[in-house]
Amino acid sequence: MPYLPTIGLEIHVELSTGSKLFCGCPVSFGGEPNSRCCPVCTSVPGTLPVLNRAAVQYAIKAGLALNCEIGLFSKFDRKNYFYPDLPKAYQISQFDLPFCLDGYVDIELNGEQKRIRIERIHLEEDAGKLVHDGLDKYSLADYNRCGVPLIEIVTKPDIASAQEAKAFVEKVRLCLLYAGVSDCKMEEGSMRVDVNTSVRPVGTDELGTRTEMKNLNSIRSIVRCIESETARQASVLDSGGRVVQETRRWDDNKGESRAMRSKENAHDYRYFPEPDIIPAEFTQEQIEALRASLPKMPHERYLEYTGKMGLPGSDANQILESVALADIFEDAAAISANPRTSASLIIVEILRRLNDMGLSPEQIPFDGAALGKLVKMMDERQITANNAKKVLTLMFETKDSPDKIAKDNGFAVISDVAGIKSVVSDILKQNEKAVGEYLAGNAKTFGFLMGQCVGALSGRADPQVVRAVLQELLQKGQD
Amino acid sequence: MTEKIPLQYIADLSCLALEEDEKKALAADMADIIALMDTIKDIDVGDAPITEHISGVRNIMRDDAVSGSMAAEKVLSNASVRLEGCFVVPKLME
Ligand SMILES: [Zn+2]
Repeated sequence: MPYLPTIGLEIHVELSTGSKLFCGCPVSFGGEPNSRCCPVCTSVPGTLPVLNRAAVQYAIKAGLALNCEIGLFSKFDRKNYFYPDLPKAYQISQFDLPFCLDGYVDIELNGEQKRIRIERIHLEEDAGKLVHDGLDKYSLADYNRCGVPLIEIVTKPDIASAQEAKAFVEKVRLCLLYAGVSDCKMEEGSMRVDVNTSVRPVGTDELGTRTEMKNLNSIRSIVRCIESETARQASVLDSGGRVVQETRRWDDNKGESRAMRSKENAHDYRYFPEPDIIPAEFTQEQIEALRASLPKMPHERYLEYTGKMGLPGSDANQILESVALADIFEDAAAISANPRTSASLIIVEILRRLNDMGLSPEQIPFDGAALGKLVKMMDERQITANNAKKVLTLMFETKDSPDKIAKDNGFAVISDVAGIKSVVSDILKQNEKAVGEYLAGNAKTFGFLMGQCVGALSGRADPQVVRAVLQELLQKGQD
Repeated sequence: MTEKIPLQYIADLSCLALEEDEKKALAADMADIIALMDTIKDIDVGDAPITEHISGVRNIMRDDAVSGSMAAEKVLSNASVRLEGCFVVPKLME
């Protein structure tokens, strides 16, 4: 029997604040274990956590970027669970009054738009990291990640395929990158996804029993896990069995999941209002000020790029992949008034150089104004397209402006005929033999002389003009 | 009263292993505590709004400033067993 999956996601995103949610320990990646800890985040009795204002603002910005309603009154709750990644034995989270409710993201798949609803976004503290490898009865606990601010984005079960899940996660990631609240690096664990999947026979509405797959940290594993879990549940049902509600662990190497040994009451967290954290209250004006502080979201920019700027959709998407690229593009397009050439220099030339040098777009050493200037120089025929590429290479190496680089390296186009004439007449003097042959009637020699001239002018002059000048000077020689 | 308290369930949630006599004593204690809390039911709270936090204070927040951490050595001084800069804990694979 054919089945359709119904999927809901919980996306955990670490916020890029400087300090942790409740203490002044730094938020960063890597480093020695237990080197970013203090009495607050290791839960020494008697310590008092105090809420980081920036984390609250980031959580609200995330909600605004994902079209949520923002609660004007929010509070924190204590979520009790006993696991050694959490030294307090409870997590400070939000239960019934989270910062953000009722949002949505529109995704596009095969030319069709679909709205995925977001139920809520709440702010909580991350837990530590346990390393299980290599030890038999023990695990190693590193509490550096304890207390790092984390938002959890919970969707409605609106996702109907692995591809929709992929499109949704990619869109959410991009929106949060533009909102500037997280680096969303899945490979470093700053964005992790739990997938809830159930299946139902085609043609029915009744939701099946769902399973939960925890902590997926790449788009690829999300897609594979949904495909695998849909097939597994279908085969359980087809063989007359029933799907058990359980938490499963995805093994990306094996491409399969297995049930985690979990107690039935694992979800009974005995939430209660967190006495240590004071509730937060906002005015609508404060929320609107945060909304106004958000930069333009990627879908708005997409419409501008493909609309009045005239970029193909695939080019627009490639630039929008990175906030740094989009900002450079927009500045370059504004200064040069030539979005298409600006885009093609970014996509073809800049991305290739970044790739060769192993750099990310944030590390581009020049700004959009400099790129715009280069495009303008091309459009005004101060430099040829070929030499523009050489200038671009040097812009990565020096910190000079494109016009200074062009001037210093003799890339500037010789636009006056007198300048070209003097170069060509030098060439003719150096090649008296060839000139003689040409004058004696060997027309083929013209090609050789033309090659010499173009080489000497190394792309600094319009070949048409060079040809005309060469013909003119040879003509004079004949007379 | 005692038999109404799901003591074993609460002990399981808390990862506590209790002896029979401990269970008995705790069940009696909890029954007393709950009986005391039940007196609240006799109070007429009328239209009093829900109290979300007892302090009545709002918006106590700190600036996002890094104030530094403890030396890892000091953090680990609370560990009964340590290895490779980490706390060694019993393996609890879910
Ligand atoms: Zn700390």
